[in-house]
Amino acid sequence: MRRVIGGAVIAAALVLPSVVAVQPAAAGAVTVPVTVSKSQGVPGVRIAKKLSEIYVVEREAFTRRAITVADNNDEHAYNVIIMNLAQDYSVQLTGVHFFATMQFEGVFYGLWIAEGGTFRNKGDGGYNNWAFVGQFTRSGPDGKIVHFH
Amino acid sequence: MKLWRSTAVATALLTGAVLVPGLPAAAAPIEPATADTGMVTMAGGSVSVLDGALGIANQIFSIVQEQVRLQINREGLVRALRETAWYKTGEKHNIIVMVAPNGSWEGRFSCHLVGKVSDAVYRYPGYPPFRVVAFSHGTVKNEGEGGYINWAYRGWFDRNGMTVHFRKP
Repeated sequence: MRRVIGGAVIAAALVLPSVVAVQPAAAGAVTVPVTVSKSQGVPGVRIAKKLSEIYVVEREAFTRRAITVADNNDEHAYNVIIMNLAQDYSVQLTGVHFFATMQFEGVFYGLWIAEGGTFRNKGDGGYNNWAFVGQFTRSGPDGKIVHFH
Repeated sequence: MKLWRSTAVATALLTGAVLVPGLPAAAAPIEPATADTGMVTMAGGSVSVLDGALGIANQIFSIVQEQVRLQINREGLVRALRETAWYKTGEKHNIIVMVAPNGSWEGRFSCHLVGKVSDAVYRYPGYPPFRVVAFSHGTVKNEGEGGYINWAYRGWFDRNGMTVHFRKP
């Protein structure tokens, strides 16, 4: 089944991810602080390391890069979602295999890898606040309720 | 990444383009007080310099902007603590996060928490301390201000006003 990416309200569910400019981390570059709270059945250490090495400038690029990194470093067809934790949301994800918090430009983000369930963004729906990849359908105003399969 | 700039200016206030004096020495060198005038625009606001050094106004604006950024992201820190505690304790305990300026919830919250498996105070630069407890069941009454900047919880509960009754999982 085709895996798609989502996040910004203006993006349709079948829009493929934009190319995110990623530069190799320069020597001495500050890494993204990553705190892993749960890792079960996925290579959590590798995922966390790759997340910490993300080098982008804008938050919009960071969220999309983060879900791509998490997705590419796990062989399972799980779903991945990242959310700005300063925004209101409700989470009823099932089969959570990985959760980590990260900081980018002072913003606290949470990243989940899960088998299914529902995630509702009650705040702003731009890529600077959330992004997700996997198998899902969207509902609700502006498609901000995501049902993962 | 530029995190946690050590400004330590908790009292800095942004009131439009008028800025409160009494700021500490900034890290960057201060430019001579020439009669430069101009407009500095940054993400999230701007400052109009009517008289004095543009560099000083720029630094003041940066300091205040940092405080605004910290305030905006305070809810994020509270939720990050909540989610981290939730998953760290196996998704099988109630979680409460409470602002604890003195390292204690006394005076802000009335708590009766049973079966605690974790109880700790977390301190991050730029933010007040937050106490995070993972427990079996109990009651928490918020006697201060609500909002995610002050508290957050997750688990099995019923809420009545500012009082939350937590059930056993």
